[in-house]
Amino acid sequence: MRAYLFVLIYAGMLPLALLSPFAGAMIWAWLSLMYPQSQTYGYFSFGFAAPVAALTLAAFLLSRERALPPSTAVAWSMAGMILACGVAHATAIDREIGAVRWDTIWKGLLLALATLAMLRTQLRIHALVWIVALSIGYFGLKGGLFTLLTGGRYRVVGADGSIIGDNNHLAVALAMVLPLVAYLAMHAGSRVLRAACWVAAPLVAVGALFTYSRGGALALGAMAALAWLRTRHRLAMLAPIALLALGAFAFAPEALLERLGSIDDYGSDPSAMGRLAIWRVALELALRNPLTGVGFQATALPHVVAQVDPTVTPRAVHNSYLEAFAEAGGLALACHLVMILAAALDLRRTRRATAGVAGWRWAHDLSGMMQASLLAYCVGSFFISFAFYDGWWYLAALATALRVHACTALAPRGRVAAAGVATAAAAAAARGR
Amino acid sequence: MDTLAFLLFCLAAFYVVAWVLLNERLGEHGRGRGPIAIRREEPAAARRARGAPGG
Repeated sequence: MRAYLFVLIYAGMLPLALLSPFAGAMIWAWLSLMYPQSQTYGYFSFGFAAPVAALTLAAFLLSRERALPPSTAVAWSMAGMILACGVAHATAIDREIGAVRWDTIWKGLLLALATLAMLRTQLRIHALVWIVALSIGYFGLKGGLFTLLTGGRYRVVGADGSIIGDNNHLAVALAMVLPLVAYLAMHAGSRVLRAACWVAAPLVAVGALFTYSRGGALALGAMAALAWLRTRHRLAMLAPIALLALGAFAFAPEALLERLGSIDDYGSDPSAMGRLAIWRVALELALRNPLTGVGFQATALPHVVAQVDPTVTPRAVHNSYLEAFAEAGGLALACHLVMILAAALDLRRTRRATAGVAGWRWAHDLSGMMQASLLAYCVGSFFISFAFYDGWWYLAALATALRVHACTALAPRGRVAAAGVATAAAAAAARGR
Repeated sequence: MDTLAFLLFCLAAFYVVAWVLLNERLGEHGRGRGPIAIRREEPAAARRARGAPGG
C-alpha cells in the first residue's frame, strides 16, 4: 500500500521536472536526502532518482534557465571535487568497492551545481530550505516520537541503504537540519506551520540524541550553543532550553547517559580506539598517495589496511577530512576545506549585509541558523565518514546562493560595501555613482 | 501511523515543489504566497509599539 502510494506521488511529481528544471532539482534533493524509495520495504527495485536526474538536466540544458553557477568559491570547489573524485576513482586500488560511492558523488555534485545555478530568487532559496528540512527532519520527527513512545530504549536510525542509514550519520544530519527547522519556525507564513515547526524542533533534537551517537551529541551541543547565540530572543530561549535539557537528563535511560559519559573515557572504549587506529592508517595511506588517494572505501579492504598495519581492523575512515584526503587525494581535501571556509564566509557576509535591513530579516536569521548547521557538520563529521554527503553540498549551495542573492539586491543600498563584500553588482553601482 | 507520517512528508514535498512552480507561473518571484511562503515582516514601528526586540 505504502509503496503504491509513493509511486503515485512520484509519478505525479515527474511531469513537474519537465515543466521547470528547478522543480526537478528539488525532486532530486527530496529523493536523495529522504530516500523515500527505501521506505517501501524494497517493493520496487527501480532506480527512482535516475529519471528525475535525466529529466532535470535535459530540462535545464533546453530551458532559458541554462546558466553557469555563480563564480563563487563554493561552486569552484564543487567542480574541483568532481574532478578530484573522478581521478581518484580512475586510479583506485579497487574500483569495484568504490563504484557505487563514485556514482552517487558525481551525480550528487552535478545536481548540486545545477541547483546552485538555478537558486537565484528568495522563493527558491526558501523552498529548498523547506525540502531539506522536510526530507531529513522526517527521520528526526519520527525518531523523536518513537523515542517518547518507547521510553528511549531503542536506537533511532535513518533510511536503510542511504548515507544516513547509520545512527551516527543520522545524528549529525539531524543536528545540521535542526537550525533550518528553527528558521522555518520563525519565518513560515502560516501561524499553524510556525507552531508545527516549534513542536517539531524539540522532537528532532530528541531523535538526534537517541541515536545514541556520541559524535552526534557533540555536534548537537555545538550547534545548540551557536544557534542560541544567533537567536534574537536569547533570554527568552534560555528557559525552554534549560527545561528541555533538565527533562532529557531526568528521563533519559541509564544506557544513554552511560554512552554519553564514555566520551571522556575514550581510552578504554574499543570503538573509539578502533577509530584512532583507522585514522592513523588513513593518514599514512593519504601521505603515501597524496595526489590521488587510494580510492573510495578502500580502507574497508584488508589488503589495503595491511599495507600500513595488519593488526588494524579494516573499516570506514570515520573522519571526513581524512576520508577526503585518503580516499580521493589532496585536491579533494583542499576542495572540501575551501567549500567549508567559503560557505562560512558567505554566511558571515550575508549576516552582516542584512543586519537591521527592512525586508531582509529572513536572510539574516537564515544565515545565522545555517552557521549553526555548518558548525554541526564540521564537529560531527570529525567522527564519521561524511565528506561526500549531499546534504552538506546543499547547505553549501544555499549559503553561497543566499550571499549572492542578498549582496546583489542590497548593493545599490550601500549595505554590501559596509559588509566588505565585492560583487559585480556593487562594482556596477559604484561605477554608476 | 508510520505510513501516515511517511505519506504526509511525501505529500508535503510534492506541495513545496508544486508551490514554487505555481508561484513562478503566476509571476510571483518574491516571498511567494500561501502557508509555506516567507512570513511578512512586521514594520519596525509596529514592533517598537509592542516592545519587541529588534524594533
